Amino acid sequence: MKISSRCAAALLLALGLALAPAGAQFGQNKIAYDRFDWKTYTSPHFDVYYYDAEAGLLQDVVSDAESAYLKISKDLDHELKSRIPLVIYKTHAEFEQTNITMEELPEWVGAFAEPIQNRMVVPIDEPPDRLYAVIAHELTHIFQYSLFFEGYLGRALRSNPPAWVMEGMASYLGQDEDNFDRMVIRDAVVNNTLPPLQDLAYPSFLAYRYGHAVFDFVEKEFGKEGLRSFIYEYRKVLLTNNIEKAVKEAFGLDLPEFNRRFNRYLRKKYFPVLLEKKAPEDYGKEVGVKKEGVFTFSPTLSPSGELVAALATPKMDLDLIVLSAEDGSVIRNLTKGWTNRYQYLVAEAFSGRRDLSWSPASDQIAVFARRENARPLLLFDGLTGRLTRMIRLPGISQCKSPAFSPDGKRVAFEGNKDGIVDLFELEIATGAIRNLTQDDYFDANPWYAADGKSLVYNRRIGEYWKVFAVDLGDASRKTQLTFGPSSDIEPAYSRDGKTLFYASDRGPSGIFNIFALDVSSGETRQYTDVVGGCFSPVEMAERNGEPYLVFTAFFEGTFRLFRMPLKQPEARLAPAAAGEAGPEIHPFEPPLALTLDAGKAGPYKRHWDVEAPYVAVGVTDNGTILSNAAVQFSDLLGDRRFSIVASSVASYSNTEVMYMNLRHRLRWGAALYDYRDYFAQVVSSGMSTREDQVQRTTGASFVVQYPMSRYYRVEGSVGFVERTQDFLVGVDPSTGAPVLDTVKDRFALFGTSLTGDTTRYQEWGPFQGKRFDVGVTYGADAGGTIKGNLVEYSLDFRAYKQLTRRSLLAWRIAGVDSAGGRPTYYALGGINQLRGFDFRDFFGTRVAWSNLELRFPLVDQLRFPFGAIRSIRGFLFMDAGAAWFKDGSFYDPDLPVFAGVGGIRTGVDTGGKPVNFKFWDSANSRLQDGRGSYGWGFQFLFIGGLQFNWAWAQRMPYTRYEPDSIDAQGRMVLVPRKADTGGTHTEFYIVFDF
Amino acid sequence: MRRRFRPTFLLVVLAATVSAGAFAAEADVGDILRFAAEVAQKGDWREARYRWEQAAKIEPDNPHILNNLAVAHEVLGDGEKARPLYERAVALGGGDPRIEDNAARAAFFRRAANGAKTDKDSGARPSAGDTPPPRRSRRGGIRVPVKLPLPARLDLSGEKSLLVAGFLSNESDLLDTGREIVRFLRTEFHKHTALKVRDVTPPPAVPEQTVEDLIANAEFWKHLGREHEADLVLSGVVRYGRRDASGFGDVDTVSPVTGQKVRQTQFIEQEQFTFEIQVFFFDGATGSLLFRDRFQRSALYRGLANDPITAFYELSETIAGDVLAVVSPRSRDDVRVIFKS
Repeated sequence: MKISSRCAAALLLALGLALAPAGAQFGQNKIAYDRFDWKTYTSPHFDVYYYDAEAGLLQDVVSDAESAYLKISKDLDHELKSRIPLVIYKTHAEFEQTNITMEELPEWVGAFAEPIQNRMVVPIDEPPDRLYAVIAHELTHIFQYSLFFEGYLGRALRSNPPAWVMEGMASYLGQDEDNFDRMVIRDAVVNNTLPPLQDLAYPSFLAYRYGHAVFDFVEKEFGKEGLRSFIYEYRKVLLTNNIEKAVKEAFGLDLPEFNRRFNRYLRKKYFPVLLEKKAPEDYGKEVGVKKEGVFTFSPTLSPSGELVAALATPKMDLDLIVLSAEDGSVIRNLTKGWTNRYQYLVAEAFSGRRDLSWSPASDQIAVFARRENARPLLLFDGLTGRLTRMIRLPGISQCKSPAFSPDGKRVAFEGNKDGIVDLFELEIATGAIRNLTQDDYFDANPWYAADGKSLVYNRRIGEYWKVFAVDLGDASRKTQLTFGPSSDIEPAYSRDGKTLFYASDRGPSGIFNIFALDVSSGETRQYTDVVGGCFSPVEMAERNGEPYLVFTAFFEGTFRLFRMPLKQPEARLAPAAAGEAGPEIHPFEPPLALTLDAGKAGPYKRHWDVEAPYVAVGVTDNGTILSNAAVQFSDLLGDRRFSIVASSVASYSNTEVMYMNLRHRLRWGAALYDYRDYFAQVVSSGMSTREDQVQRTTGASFVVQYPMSRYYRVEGSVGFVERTQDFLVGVDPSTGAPVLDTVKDRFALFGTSLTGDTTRYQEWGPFQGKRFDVGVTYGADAGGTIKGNLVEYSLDFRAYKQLTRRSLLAWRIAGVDSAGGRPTYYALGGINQLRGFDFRDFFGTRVAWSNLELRFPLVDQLRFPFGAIRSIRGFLFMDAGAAWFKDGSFYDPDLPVFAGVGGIRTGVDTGGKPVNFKFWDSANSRLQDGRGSYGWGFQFLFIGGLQFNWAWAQRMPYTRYEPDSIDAQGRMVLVPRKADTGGTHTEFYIVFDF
Repeated sequence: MRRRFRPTFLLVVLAATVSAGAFAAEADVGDILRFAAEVAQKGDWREARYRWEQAAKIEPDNPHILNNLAVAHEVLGDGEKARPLYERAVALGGGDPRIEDNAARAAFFRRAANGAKTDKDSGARPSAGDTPPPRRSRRGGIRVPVKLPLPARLDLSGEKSLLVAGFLSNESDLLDTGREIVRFLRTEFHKHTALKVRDVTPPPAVPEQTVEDLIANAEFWKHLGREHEADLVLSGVVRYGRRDASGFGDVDTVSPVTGQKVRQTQFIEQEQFTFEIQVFFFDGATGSLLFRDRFQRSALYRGLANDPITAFYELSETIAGDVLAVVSPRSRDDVRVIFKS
């Protein structure tokens, strides 16, 4: 897992024992911002892990979980043999702090279930019906693990079921699909953009939706028994992932025939809609960013009604842009470029929320952003584009849907306080916050009335959002404005306050369209009738006396912004027809409503279990194999981790036993380790034998880490180490060959470092940001062969600058200096450190190097009969570096001494002076003891994500001192000559680029 | 914001400063003016007007703001609101030639536009060449191209349908010019105006009369209007001809040997096509003449075997805008100076 490798490397670095200074281990910090006092509740099938703040919601969770168990168990005709650990977090922000997985949990991850200990981890800040669906979805995964893996870890690790099977089935049995989801699949069907099933092997939104549709189809055609039959047939072929065979055995159909029938089913279901409905272009003009694939959504209008602020994806991330409502031309991108002030802007439009609000009284535009584990309110100035304020909202999480009051002094928003989702109001000047709705319902999408005395908003009742109004002077005075079994979302008053616009999925097709409610007469008008969906209506300034709306439309896979004149509506509904007379809707209740038994609650008891093992391998350019494997154990919450790591460089094996406590923000751990490694290899030219100079390090350490923020952390360590080393005791004066002797030393070690990482990633690696690590280690002499203390300074700095969507410049400068009285040797050369030279070709007590790379896409996909290689990327590079000794001597691996081996340069120049290390030969304007190379190469990920690299390097010209004669004192006289750089060097290595 | 690639070794400083951050001050009049100028340059004059109105509330006697606001009103077709603003801007502007230039050009355009609206004959419309050349803008002022709206020359309120009747034409062996011009105009009106163009094929023939008699034949036009339910009837006269315009002339060529440009006198074979059209708009209900105009164009084509149909349509397209402007608003390109500070 990520944390274990990071901590292991941190220890290595802190202890100063990294013989090949490959640099620090980076990564942004996963921080335990909160402390949780865990408790357990035992229900018939679940062990629920919760903390006090969730106690009030525990009964609902238990009822949901047991209800879901009953349903899925029946659907699959299967019972689980073991109890299910269900870990719940009050909010998503707290869920993201879980240590059950060390991966980052972005906000789009709603919950997860893992197959090793069958844990379900769920944030419970969803509306009740959605929470039930989420629990049912994750529980389906636990059933899948039980059915498919049957408790065998080997089956879990060796199998790779496609996402459309795993997630589609979970979505289908969990019944978590809503009309937003259906909109996407409907749009894909009518626009003929559905990918083939085999392209949905990896998790993606469409894999969930398409997979769900597959199981809908299976039930429709073959009944529930057909579903069970497929599951049991697939179980037989799990390890070979032979879907074709499973389909044939379960349904008696070849896969192409199954696909054909499935696609026909979808077309029959959705094509009639295409004939009846219209496209957004039929209603108005597009005023968003008009580039293919670019989303523009969540509009809010300027006080003049002439400008639209919206969220859009003109580049690689989400931006806040200001557009002309007249023609959609982009006036300004307020969040252009990259920033570390916040991580990203909050976009909840796809769950039916407004995301932006432009103050009616000024030019402030409000939007929530993610920063650390909170969502502060950002106020941008629409005129200048500046971020003018960032307001923290302590105690309220998952804030969204900002709405300015008419005087621009207050902002209403949706937030979660103590597990209850209500509407709140922020007084901008004072920072005072008050609860506007004060009820147990989930509330969303506030919008002030023109007089500022009331607001309209959404309340969740059952599975529907309805429009309500609340008196801001008396939170108990609430009025329901829309009725019936439909979700009426994102209400907004017209400019004259007489009409309420909203989006609603009213009707049998469940398509979101724009509606308007005449506040005085109660008449409801439907203004659009589209295939995709229309959202976020807001009235803009009139044109020629005609009112206009701006809205978001989803069509052809893209959210786009349109404006339309409010002409003849598609339909008019009298108040009675608009839903008042329809069936009454009720709050959601799970099928089983359980009561809690106090006797089944208790404190959390720690017990250890095995985690997923970790294995990685690499190959250097001279064929040296690198490997790393870890077995981990953790407590159920993952807060305490114990790992045994075995790694190797060539035939030298390293072992590390480590304990880490991740429960709090200040993390600590201890390690025992035994490392063996070589720092220089000497190859006898005539005999092909390697004489590696070895050092072995055995010790123990205690390490602490404190993340100051998501991007920066400090680390410290203390420990004791014993080292056995082939120590350089001198140089053979006649040959220059290093003379080494085995010594044993002991040190008390103290280390500290500062690490930063602001890097953004694409699927092919880092592309924007910086990383650095600076560290110092002190080792107090505690006895041994040679006296002296260890002092080591290290630096690793990397920067990535995006050039185009898929190309970038990457730069690294790094080095280590063993400055104490007792030296440590480091090696340099090869892989992507100094290409054109052998792996660890140079060594010394000081090493430094720099790399500059231009990385760019080369081939998107190469198809072979056995499969495809994707994303082959090229790079142009320039490397430079050197290794030398503190006393100025230099190890030249190519020094042609009589025995044919490299050695420490010990001779004198023609003037009788020692030839000390010098990076640059200024007399000849070329490198001297420094080495450099340039060239190009390409790389791709292969065999489970290993990065294969090929590079062709040219060495830069350099000066080499070669033996010429023996002087009167018997010293070797060296003369400078231009070195033979040897043409193009072809290299292959398997390591990740920096 | 980390937008630039600035490798630095001051990593500790970087770590400290990145998280601190500082926020900008609130926007002021300067910000409003800069923003308004920016959106105006992008063509969003309604937003610009709104911003300058905001600025004018804060600094009501700022001549730059008054000038800008006047320009916005002018561009948005409200010349009457622009006039007093220009007058105040000039009075407060201390002789700023840019404001005076704007005001002069606006006054000229206003007169011309008013003339266009009322005159029922050609020649009253302003063209780009009529207006004085814009003076060079000094610091703080931005010269922006503007499209000034010209109202339709016919007030068509209540008149929604158009019949393009036949045109009188000269005898020509080149093509059936009467039929071609009707087809062309019908398509243009259909594409570029909101009028309902009656699709009558072949177009109703008009009596072989002198032009003035034809215009005076109100009963005939009234009859056509009633028969085809047209509120407006368009007819006219078209003349199209070709003549040999060959002769000696100077030709610039590049020497293939020296690469230098050489001017030579050569005999040039070419043809001149001439195109003249008179258009008459009649009220379909009364048969009275509402508007008439006349346009003349000619063009030279190299060689002596040019396609007369191509030439006819190329020349027709040059008068299409003028004919359409009779019934629909159009705009005129001009230049104004606005201030961003």
